[in-house]
Amino acid sequence: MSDKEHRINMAEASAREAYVAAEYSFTLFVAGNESNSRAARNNLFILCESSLRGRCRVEVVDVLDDFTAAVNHGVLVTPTLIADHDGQVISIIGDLSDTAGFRAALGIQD
Amino acid sequence: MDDDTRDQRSRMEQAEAIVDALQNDQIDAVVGKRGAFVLRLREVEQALRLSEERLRQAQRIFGFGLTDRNHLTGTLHWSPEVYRIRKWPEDRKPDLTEALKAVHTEDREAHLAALQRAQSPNGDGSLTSEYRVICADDSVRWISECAQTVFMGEGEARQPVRTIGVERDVTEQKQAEELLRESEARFRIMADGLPLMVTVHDPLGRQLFVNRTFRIFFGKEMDWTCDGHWKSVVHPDDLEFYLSQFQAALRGRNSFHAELRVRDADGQWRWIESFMSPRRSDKGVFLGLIGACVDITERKHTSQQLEQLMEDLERQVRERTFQAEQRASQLQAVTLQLTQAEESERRRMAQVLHDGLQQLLVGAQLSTRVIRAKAQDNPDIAAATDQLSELIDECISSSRSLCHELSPTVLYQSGLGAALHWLASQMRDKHGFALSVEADDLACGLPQTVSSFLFQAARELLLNVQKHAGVGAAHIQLRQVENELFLEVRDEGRGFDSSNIDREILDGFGLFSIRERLDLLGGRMQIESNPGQGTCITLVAEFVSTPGTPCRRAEDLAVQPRITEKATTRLAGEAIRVLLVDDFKVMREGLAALLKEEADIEVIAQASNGAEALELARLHRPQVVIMDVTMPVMDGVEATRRIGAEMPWIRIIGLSMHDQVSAGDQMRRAGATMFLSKDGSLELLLAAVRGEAG
Repeated sequence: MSDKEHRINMAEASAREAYVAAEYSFTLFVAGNESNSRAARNNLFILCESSLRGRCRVEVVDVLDDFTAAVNHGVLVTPTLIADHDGQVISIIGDLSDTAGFRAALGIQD
Repeated sequence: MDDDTRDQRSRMEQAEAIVDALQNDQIDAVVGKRGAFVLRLREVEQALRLSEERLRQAQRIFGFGLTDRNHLTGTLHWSPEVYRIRKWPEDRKPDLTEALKAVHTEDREAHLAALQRAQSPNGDGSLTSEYRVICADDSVRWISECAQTVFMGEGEARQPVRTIGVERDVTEQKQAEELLRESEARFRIMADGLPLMVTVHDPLGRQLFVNRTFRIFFGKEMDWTCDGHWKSVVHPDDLEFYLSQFQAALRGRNSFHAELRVRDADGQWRWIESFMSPRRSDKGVFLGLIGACVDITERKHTSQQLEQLMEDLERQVRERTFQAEQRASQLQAVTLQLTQAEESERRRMAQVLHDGLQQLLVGAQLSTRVIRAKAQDNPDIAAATDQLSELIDECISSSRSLCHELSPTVLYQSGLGAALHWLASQMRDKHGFALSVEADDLACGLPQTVSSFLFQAARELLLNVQKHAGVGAAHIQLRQVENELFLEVRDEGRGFDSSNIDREILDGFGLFSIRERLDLLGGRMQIESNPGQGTCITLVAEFVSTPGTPCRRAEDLAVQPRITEKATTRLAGEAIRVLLVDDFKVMREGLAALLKEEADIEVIAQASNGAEALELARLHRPQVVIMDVTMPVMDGVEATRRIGAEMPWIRIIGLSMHDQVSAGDQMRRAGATMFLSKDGSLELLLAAVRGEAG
């Protein structure tokens, strides 16, 4: 699946779940299909599917297509995930492979 | 906590997070105000590692080491290869002083100067230096170093920062160069010492080197290694050809050799001989040509003189040869004349003996018979007459054999073949020698000189067989092959070694003189003999038929069948009328006196030659003609034929001194009833006249 298609799917999924009250709003900044960016996307997708079903909204931004959003969000490196949970914004840098730490940072209980 | 502090903390946290992520290699790109940049740190690192590895490999393979000197800190860094080259202990860090100390004392000053030049703020910073170093194990290695110094600052403030260089162990190369230099020096010494002019050309034909001899010959002031200079001293007429040869040798990479004219240092044209050979390296690569030239002007002159001399000599030899040949042919002609003279003298003497002495003797003999008949009553006279008769017989006999030895008549009348047959009968009768003859008919028509010589030679050879071969038989073969006549005398006797015969032996057998005379007649002699295996001697003579002496063949002599019926038969008691024909009067009269004694015989006429005989026969119509063979005007053979043709009833009795087969044959063929010898018995003649004999 190409990066663009992936993003559309994610966007559709977000749109479908928009009227469900979204507890988490994620913006993932990636650099094309580089290995860490690909891993971060996968890890975020797995989290959304497994633990936050219907409770999250995801936006993926490719800095190679549009870097201004990253600059506006103060993102310096990719992959960086900006997570908004009940107005609390945190940013997580890396490929999101530390699933436990990631969950803990978002306050998600198993 | 105010906003600023929170913001700062957040940034710090972010920075820490970034550092963590970097350390974990989880960063893909950095984003700045001008864009996003993908970081491929792992790949860069890997590439760097690979590149370093490659550099290390290259250093090891090519044997070069890297040196890095930091002028600010005063430190010196060597790559492992430098340690290896200098056999430097790995655990000891090098410093500049130590490094300089390791440079060979002889090279140190120059190297230092080079270093200082490279570090001078006014220079370009480049360093190239070759020097020897004393290694840690005291061995000496040649090092070639190239380095570049980097400067900082401008003008007065300009100062060296780093010097990065490459060094290489060039000991082997140096040694090879040294060897090459030595060999080059040796070559030059040798080439300069040679009396030859030596030149060395590169593969394009450019002259790289000329030796001292060359420079002295062509002039020292010219730079002969300058391209094409040598062409200016070659003679214009020789240049094109020489250049074409030279170019062909360059192309074909082969050697050539030429003679050409060149101008020497004094401006004189000289002849030189140039030898060019290809030069090749150890591996067979073509390096050009090497040439050697020699001044051959003198030699050329000498050889020209020699040629002239040779030509003169040859001309003289030709002249002399011509003279000698002329003399030889004169000599041959003289010898031929001599042989001919000898031959004609023999014939003349034989003729005199035969026609004169013998006829006279026969006449005398006939007279003694008349006396004897008349002196029957006187025994003393009868006895004396008998004695005289015997003496005369002996005289006739010796005269005859002398005559034959001198010149056998049969040779002229019937040719060589017949003469050989006659010789065979002679040898059989006189010596009991069995000679078989095989002769071609064609051998008649020969010049008399040749046939006579061959006959005499055959006789001599046969005498040899009789004397030396120890056998009583021989074989003669006479044959004509094209224009050559072969007379072969073969025996099965003792033989001798024909491969080793000298003049003495030849002389001993009389062969030498035969060979010489044969040579002069334009013929040759072949001797084949082996001890115990007989001898075969072949005389080969040129066969030139003389048109003036036609061959007398049996066919020419043929006549019509003789009519034997007598037209005038003799009546009983009537005397037989006889015509006597002989050119010798004494002979005729002797015969007439003898016949007169016989009552039944009447001599009616006498003729002195054939023509006269024919006339008298017509006139007197004799019953019998007693005809001599050899006579002037018309001989007996011709007369016999004519009389036989005209008056076939006349009986003709041939009578001659020629007691050989041929004369008798000829007479019989011409129509004679009988042929008798003049010195034969009277009774036989009388019987023939009476028609009782035959």
